Amino acid sequence: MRSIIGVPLDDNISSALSLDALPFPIMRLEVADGETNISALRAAVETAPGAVDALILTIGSDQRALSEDPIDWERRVRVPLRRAFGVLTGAGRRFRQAGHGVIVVVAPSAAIGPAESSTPELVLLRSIVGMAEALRAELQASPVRVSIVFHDGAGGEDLSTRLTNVMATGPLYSLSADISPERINAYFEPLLDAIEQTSAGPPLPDIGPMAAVYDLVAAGAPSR
Amino acid sequence: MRTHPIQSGSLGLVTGGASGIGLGIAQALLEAGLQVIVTDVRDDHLEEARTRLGAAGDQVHFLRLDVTDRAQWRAARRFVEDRFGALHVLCLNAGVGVLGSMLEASDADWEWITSVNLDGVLAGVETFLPHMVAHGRPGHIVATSSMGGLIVANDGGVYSAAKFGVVALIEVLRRDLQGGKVGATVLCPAAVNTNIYDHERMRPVAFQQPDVVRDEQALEDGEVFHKQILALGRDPHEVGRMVWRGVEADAPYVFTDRNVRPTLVSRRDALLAFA
Repeated sequence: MRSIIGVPLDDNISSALSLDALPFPIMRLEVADGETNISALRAAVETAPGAVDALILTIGSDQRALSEDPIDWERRVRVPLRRAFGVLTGAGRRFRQAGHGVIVVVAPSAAIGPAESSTPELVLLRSIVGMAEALRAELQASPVRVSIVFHDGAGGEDLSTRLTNVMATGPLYSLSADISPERINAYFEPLLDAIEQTSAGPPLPDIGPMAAVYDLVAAGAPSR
Repeated sequence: MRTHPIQSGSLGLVTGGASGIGLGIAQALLEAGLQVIVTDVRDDHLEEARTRLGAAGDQVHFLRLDVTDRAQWRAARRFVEDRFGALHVLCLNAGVGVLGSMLEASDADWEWITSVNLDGVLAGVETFLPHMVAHGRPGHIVATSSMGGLIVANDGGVYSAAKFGVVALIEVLRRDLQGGKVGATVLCPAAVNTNIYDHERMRPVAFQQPDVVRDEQALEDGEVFHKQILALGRDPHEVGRMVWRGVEADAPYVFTDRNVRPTLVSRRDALLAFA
């Protein structure tokens, strides 16, 4: 039986995803709703009782209107971002010390693809995706795995199967059905076109494994 | 195609504008005939920039601005409105390039890096976008992210979290500003010959950990290493010209090195492999 810590990032957001609906017995992390101190958040994860195998951070879809004037950046971006950082790095430290563990970030698919979310939601989601990918990169040489599970935000999908697989194999990504190849390409094409139009910079010495986390074998990508 | 031409004589403001890429952008804006307000948190860099840009005479102005301080942003807006009336090009370039383990990063590390690299950009947009939309003349916002805002390395988690957010912000701004007179571009530089290697030394007291003794030797070794690498990178003035061409073309993204393409392709391919 796995022992899992669950952390919903924001209880106030109307979420399509409830920790109670996940297919494992989950111990909900007890931290004050307003806690934003990174050291305190880390300590809460690192000292949670029992042998813990995994931590799941869930982020619901933000149902608020696209436009909000003025935007409360503190509440909608800075606070949840700080909480995510404290919790994820707390888990990374704990599992690195233990020599095993899985960290899963469950996030809306709105993070991937052309901008369709509200401004603060997209900023928050992309920041957390960057944070999670970088945490996986930092822990790549260890037995600890970090995965990002995208959900479509509608709440119609049963995540049990995908979460079970992710717990077992620790891939970089698990995508919801709405993240199609077309959607991925639609996002990356303007980026790659812009790079194409740029001249090559001066040659640089090898500075180490940049973007090694995306290597398909290291990412645990399914073989075709 | 140029969709919202910035007229010669328009006003630009560059944060972190007294050194590195910011100074390069300021130089390029001056070459394009704009008046430029160079802002920076470092007085020593402002003095050096005053000397470097002296030939621009009364076309260039200098203002101390800490992008993490909302009161200073409000003062900058009053300065612009009282003295010039309108701002047309806002370049949100100030950033700190401190890398390192995210597992070992302190609260202070997080607050400093995200306060400058993400909140500093958000504050600039919040302060000046309503003004730029309201005056009704063509305008443009440029935010400096990084290749680290699109792909990650194993030693830059805090930095990437902030820079991913900056890319997202500009993408949403472009959507929201479509059809209007203000455009938005995100700059994603790779290696550029700047002083980004010495940022740890300029860490403000408010973001220091009083109980931690800095390892001076390790710091110096890191600086020497990164200085040698960056010395081979793009010239900041050249990057500034790339930015100006991006503004003229209303480009969504400006990159500085085609050689980074395979790294971005690897991220796309990783996503495609799971789709």
